[in-house]
Amino acid sequence: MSEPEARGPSRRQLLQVGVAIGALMACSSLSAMAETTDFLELSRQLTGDPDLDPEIGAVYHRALNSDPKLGPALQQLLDNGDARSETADQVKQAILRQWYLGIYREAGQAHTASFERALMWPALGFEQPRGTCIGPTGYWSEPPAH
Amino acid sequence: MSEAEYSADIVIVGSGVAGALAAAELAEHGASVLLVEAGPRTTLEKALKTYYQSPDRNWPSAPYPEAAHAPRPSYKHPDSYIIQGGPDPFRASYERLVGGTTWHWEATSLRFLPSDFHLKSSFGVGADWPFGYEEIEPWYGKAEVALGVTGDPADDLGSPRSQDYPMPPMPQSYMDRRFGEALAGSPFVQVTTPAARNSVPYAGRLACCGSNTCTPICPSGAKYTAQTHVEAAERAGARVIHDHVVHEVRLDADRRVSGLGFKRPDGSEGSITGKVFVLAAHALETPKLLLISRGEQSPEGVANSSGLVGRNLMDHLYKMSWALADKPVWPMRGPMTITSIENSRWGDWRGERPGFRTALYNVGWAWATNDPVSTIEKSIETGLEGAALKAAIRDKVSRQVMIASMTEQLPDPENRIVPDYEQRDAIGIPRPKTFYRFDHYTRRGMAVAEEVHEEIFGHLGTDQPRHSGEPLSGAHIMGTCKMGTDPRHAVVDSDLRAHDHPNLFILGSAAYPTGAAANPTLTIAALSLRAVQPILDQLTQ
Repeated sequence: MSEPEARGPSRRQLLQVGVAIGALMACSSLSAMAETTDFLELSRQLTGDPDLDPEIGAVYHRALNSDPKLGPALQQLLDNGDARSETADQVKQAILRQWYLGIYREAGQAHTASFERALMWPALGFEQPRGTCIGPTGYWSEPPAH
Repeated sequence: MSEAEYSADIVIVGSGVAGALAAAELAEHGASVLLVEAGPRTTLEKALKTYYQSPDRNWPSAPYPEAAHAPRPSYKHPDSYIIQGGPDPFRASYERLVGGTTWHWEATSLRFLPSDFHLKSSFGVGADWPFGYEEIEPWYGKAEVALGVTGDPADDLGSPRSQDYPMPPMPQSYMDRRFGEALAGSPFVQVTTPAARNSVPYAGRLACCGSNTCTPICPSGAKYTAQTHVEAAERAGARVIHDHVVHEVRLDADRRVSGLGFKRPDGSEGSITGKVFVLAAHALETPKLLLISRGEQSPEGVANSSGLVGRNLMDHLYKMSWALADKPVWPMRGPMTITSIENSRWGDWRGERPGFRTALYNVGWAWATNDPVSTIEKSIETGLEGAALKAAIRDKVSRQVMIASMTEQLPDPENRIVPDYEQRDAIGIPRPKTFYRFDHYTRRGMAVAEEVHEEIFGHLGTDQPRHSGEPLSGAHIMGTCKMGTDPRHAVVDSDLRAHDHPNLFILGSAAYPTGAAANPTLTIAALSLRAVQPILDQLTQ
């Protein structure tokens, strides 16, 4: 009996979505990139995570910008800094949902931007996303290390 | 009629565990075997890609293709295929693709109890099987080897064993250990649930790497799927064809099965000839196929002189309860469920209420409330941000516990599936219509299960538990082609041969006279293995 060598899906497979996102990024203008930098800074403040992926951030930024209600409110938030308003809160919550779930909405449809880089996994103490090979048999007998 | 496109000594319809296991065994015995699947064929790689890219992936069919020519019911779209005749909904799901529902099954591989085979004579309810536990016991052992079942031989599961499990028990999760400490000395005996998931590398497949998503998909292949035996059948020379929807079983003048009619996705038709025919299309599609095969020789449908084809439709109905433990139990790490309480399956009360088994689920509230998504969304809505948000999510999800009890449902001839000739699928085949009722017996079991859940959570230390309301489907479809010795009161004999047609066999849980309170798959596998010799014998007659 031979033991297969592969251990489930590779990181490369998981990042296929990210590659597609990279192709989209190539079309972006410099000004859009500058705005995405601001969006990323806002995202870092909201999530407390200093290591957010800029390519994924560009997708979330584009998706929120295209939302008829939240798009203008996001622009205002990025232009004027912190503003306490109901709409501003909705924008912040939408940004947090994107990063935590790895999902964005565009034209009423939900899409996965990054399954692997969703913030829910490290928040819950997962070494790898649920649904992938997480560790050696029996790792689950002890609480997570982080 | 034009010449048949396909021909084989043995033609098997349906490539789930029942059909694939028989195909592999029969082909390894040197028989010429054709395995016919209505749905498409996918690969683990493709299914995983679909799963990871889906923004809504927390349901059993999420990774799998939906084919217009082979529609299937699902939790997500429960009424998109089955026509509900009432009074209660029949909400079981299954897959139609090569490998069948084992793609998304949980892998729990329990044996039935000796008493499950004579419920009627011992307790006055339900029905008896045409044989007892001692007859099927060796076949359970072979099925455990074929599927690769882990278990702890020290556990008393009420089903005597003549051989060890082929693999050592799965290591318990941190959550299982907390339950174990809490339940020590209580009436609730925690055991390791036998499951077809590799605890060590086995049969060329990897050991479990704890993805926690046995349902809908195991990324490592550590969980058994019928792909194992589809591929074994092919290696032994069987031919497997997919996207061929069998819609007619044809009889000759001697009332032997002479061939099958099928439809392709574009609606065009073809035929298959053979010597022995095996239907293994699960307990809704198999009776539907028999009933729509009406002809001069079979005005009420094939194999239906008893009038029982489609009747005695059963499921395992669930009570689910969930709570927040006082301390973290760290769910969602390791297999979906590793331990359970099985000693509630037997007792002298079985004439009054069903036995049930209580699984300790290691998935947090994933099935109860779509967690962790739900907790994340709610925490964000409260206005939390940064480290406080992360801590709130972690605190709540790490304490989520969920347990679920699966009850036995009695056979009732009024619970049935019939073809709906008025409502057809995309290629013109009647859709299944169910008439179905949750009986008082089952409801009494649900009520007892809820009390038991409160007690179990009380031992662990939780907040006030929440409970599911109406019975939930376990998606264990059973009973629509009853097995028995008397042709007037059964569709198939104890070898799973149709009483009406000597060269027709019906595999799978459709043949179950009763459903017990054990997940059906290991018994499906044992019965398929047991039917191999009678099928081979028929070939030489």
